[in-house]
Amino acid sequence: MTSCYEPLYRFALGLSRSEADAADLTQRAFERFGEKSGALRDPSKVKTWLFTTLYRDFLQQRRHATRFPQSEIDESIESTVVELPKADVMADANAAVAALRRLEEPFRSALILFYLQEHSYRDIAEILDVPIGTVMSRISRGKEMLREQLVSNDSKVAAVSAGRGAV
Amino acid sequence: MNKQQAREILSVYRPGTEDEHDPMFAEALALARTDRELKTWLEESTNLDRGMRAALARVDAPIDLREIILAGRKIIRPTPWWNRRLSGQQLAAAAAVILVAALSALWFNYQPPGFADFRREIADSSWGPSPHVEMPAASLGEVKRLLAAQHVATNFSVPPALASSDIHGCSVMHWRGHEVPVICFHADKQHLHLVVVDRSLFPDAPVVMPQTDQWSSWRTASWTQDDYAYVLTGLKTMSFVKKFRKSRRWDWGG
Repeated sequence: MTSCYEPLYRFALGLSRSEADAADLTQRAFERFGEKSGALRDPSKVKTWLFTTLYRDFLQQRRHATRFPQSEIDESIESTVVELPKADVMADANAAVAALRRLEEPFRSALILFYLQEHSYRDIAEILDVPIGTVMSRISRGKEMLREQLVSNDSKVAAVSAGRGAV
Repeated sequence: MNKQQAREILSVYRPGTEDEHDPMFAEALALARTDRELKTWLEESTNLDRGMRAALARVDAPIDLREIILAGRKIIRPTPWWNRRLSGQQLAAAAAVILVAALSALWFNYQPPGFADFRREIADSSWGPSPHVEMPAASLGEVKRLLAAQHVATNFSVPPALASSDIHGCSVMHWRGHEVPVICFHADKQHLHLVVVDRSLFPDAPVVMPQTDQWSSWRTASWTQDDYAYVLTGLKTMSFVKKFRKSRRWDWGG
């Protein structure tokens, strides 16, 4: 559990909209593991199983949320819009998570798993239930989108700084 | 392989991992060693990746999450009967138990539903109809007036954290011949339903302290106070309850 729960929580945090949601997703994944652990024959698959379970739970919740929309805006995400550091010095963990959260979902989950470096591409494909080729293209496209976002944000920061300087 | 193809392959390259020995990356890496533009692009790309990875690694899980998870795992799981070795006497006893159970099932064909059945059925069905608020209302007082007009008892009480939240309205649901009021809240950015039911229907309802359960994606927290049992349900019920318990704005009654 020790080796799994931190990366699992990070994955959940990147997927969901708040720390509370991420904690709930992580807790539920372990609860289900507690219920189903007897059926898991291969101990080496536990980590992938936990990530897969968490991801499916997230998708299910998202479907419910679409059915019953909530006007929920995570202020912590909005407030970081102009605070992202330059791409080569991504020092702030919150800003990194915020940047990932702004990506569209099929790209977001693939990219978080890529950055967590906890899984092989084959495992990522299994977690996301897509072919390896799709994982690769989602990561590649996700990184492009992330880079565009960071560059655009750097421009905003520069514009804000220039504005302040002029005054 | 051209430069564009090499970029596409290298965009998923993770230095320092098994990717270094993966033949899929070998040709693209060789090209990056000789092509200055590609080399610069790869350096920028891996810089960004390094920064993102380091930032993600700095995200700490909440301190109490591990304890909560471990506490939840402390479940005594008896060995399944099919994994046990039974003696002849035990087998005979088991057969007798099965026979008695089968006869009892025939005799007591109907078992009254328990609180757990109610909780799950009502949590599921309260979110079913769309729109699920039959009677819009902006306050608890208005909700009680509307319910009273439907001849539904209204002398129930709502925890302060909920009472001070935005109220959307209420509905009256029918559960196995009983009328059950459901109040719809928008609390702490979350959509929640509070179900109120006559406590005398459920001798097994939780006493004072909250009992939690999960049904499909819905989470529930249940408690009793005076003559009523309460079920709070939503996607994020527990995070809401936890937050207000910490701030002491949640009164379980009793």
